[in-house]
Amino acid sequence: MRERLIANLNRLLEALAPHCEVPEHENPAAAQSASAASLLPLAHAIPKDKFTDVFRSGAVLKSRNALGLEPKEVDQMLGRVDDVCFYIGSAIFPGGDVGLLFSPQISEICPADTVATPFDSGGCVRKYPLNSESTDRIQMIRDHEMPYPENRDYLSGLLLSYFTCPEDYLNNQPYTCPTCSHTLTDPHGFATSCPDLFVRQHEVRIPGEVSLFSHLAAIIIESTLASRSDVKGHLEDLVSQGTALRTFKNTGAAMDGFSPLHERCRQYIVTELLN
Amino acid sequence: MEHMYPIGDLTIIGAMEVPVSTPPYQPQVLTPVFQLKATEEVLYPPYHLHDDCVVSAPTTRTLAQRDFAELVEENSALALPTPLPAQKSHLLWFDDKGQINYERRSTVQQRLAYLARTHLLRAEEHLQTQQWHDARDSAATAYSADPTKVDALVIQAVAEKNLGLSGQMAITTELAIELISRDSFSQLVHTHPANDASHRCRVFRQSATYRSMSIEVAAMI
Repeated sequence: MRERLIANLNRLLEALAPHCEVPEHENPAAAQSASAASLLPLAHAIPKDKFTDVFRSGAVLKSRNALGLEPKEVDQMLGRVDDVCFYIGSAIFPGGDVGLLFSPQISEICPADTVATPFDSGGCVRKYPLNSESTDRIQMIRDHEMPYPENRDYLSGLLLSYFTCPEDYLNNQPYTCPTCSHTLTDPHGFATSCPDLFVRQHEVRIPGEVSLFSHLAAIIIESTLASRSDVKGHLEDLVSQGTALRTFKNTGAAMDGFSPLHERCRQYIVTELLN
Repeated sequence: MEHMYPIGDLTIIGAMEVPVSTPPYQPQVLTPVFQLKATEEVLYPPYHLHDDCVVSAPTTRTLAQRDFAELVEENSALALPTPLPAQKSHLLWFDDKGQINYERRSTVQQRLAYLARTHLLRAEEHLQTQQWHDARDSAATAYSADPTKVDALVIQAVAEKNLGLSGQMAITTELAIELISRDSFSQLVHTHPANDASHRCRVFRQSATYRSMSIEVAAMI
């Protein structure tokens, strides 16, 4: 399996041609992109009512299958029903009240069959519009599966040639040439018009369970949830092992483009991890 | 691209927050998940909720109902037992009894302010009688109803200080510094009258124990 993932990675890296050629030594963004790609956390969002459940079951994140839930269609189609899914970057839709940001070093304990794709696989199977609707969507996912953490090399290439700056990746900006600002065709085959938050977010699937006591860099939590005495005890345990605690307020109504959780995660990543 | 949906074209089928289902219930305004009456598509946040319409953001998603059912199943969204017709100037909210309500915005604001005051008073009473755990819970409810109430966090920190929960008190301080400086908050906590009451009570208990021991010793002699 790993050979297939590495072959995919090499093929995708080779195909990653910049729209405007800029010699790497003349491009200060190269180092910035490589650094951002190596520093962006793995994010997982959980809803309010599940937070204490996670601790009740040993402070581990589990797959839907392990939780006794019906596996998602995409998990069944890919034959990966025991994965816990993350996005590289900010915790994102379906929202939730708690964002868990794991450091990239979690790769040290990831099983060999951990895979990454440069888009959300569930959305690919179900709904994202494609340039060619005759494309086999499952095959499309398989063709873009890469090993983790080596996939960060590919992310680095995308950040350099397809985004004006790394923050644009976090902000779900369209693929844009950083040199001439031309809107670029999606290199993975999705329609350029697709506005979905996940279509450009890199996904990582880790099989098995993921402990909150390994490499959890930060917990981003809605402030009224954090004020509960039953929640504070768990937060105390995480903070005592070096996890950063950041809070946000849920405005509960009108929102400008992103959920408050996503926005607070993005702010933490930009100000405290990337700068 | 932004799109405007008149409020009369929408039904509320759920919320994007799933309030904690065990007491103490935390009052809060909920973010509605709408369904378009005409197409049955489900409209998720982010969006701009105006009095008489909902304006989608560029990243707003309209999905099939099965996606919503999946979110509800994994506890990432809440389904209302009975869908509600969306109404002008109304808010969906969760009260301190664990009930979901849909009422006029001004009414919701008044009720949340009332709950914040009531639970804050209750928390103060618990502090006076040194029911530290109850004081924390009431203060958490007050803070949820009005997250600008720094008094609620002061009460929590005072209770945690008296319970010897320094780690949790540090978390309360992190919440407070969004509202007030760290030094000011620390001063409010350390000068709170309940600390004196607690101190007096400890001294009284110690002296009572001493007197009791003295009486026992005297009796033995």
